[in-house]
Amino acid sequence: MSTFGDPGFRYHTAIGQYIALVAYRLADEKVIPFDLLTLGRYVGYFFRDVVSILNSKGDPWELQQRVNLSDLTDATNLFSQRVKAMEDLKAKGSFRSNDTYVAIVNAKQRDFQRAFLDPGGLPQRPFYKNVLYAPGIDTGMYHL
Amino acid sequence: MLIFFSLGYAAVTFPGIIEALAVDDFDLVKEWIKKTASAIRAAAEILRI
Repeated sequence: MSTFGDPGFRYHTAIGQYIALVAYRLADEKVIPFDLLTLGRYVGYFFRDVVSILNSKGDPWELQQRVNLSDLTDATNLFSQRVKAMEDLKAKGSFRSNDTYVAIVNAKQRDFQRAFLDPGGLPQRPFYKNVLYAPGIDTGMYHL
Repeated sequence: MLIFFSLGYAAVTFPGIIEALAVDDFDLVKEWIKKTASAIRAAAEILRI
């Protein structure tokens, strides 16, 4: 590291300083500054990727008979609605001064991602439990 | 035809569904659509105000 990777540890220092600033900001903000709209948008993109892959596998009409995406469509739309509602609330002028609402919203922002974990995990890789993302199977990070 | 939505060290999104699709296991696809949808719904429920 001191010879090739990061002589003088300058990158390490800079990144450490950056992370300290991020941590300071997160600890200091009254309302957790979570950009929920972007997450909602990305969940929508993940859904579109599944539709693309499914369509590429054959006749879309025939595939739709075999694979019903409506459950996932509804869930994704519901998630988008809820993130929008929460961001609208966070944006309201009167919201920040209401300590009760702020505490409730912060607790929800803290907790909601835990719901993305499926207890069983992925096939053959039960330690990867998040339904939104996992390392690719072919990345060599199989951890068997 | 194996299409895989991940290259190099990239993460896979909706991995349960996409990896099942990669091996054409449609029962597994259905199972993971259900699990994925139900997890997203649970997260949406926590966010409800």
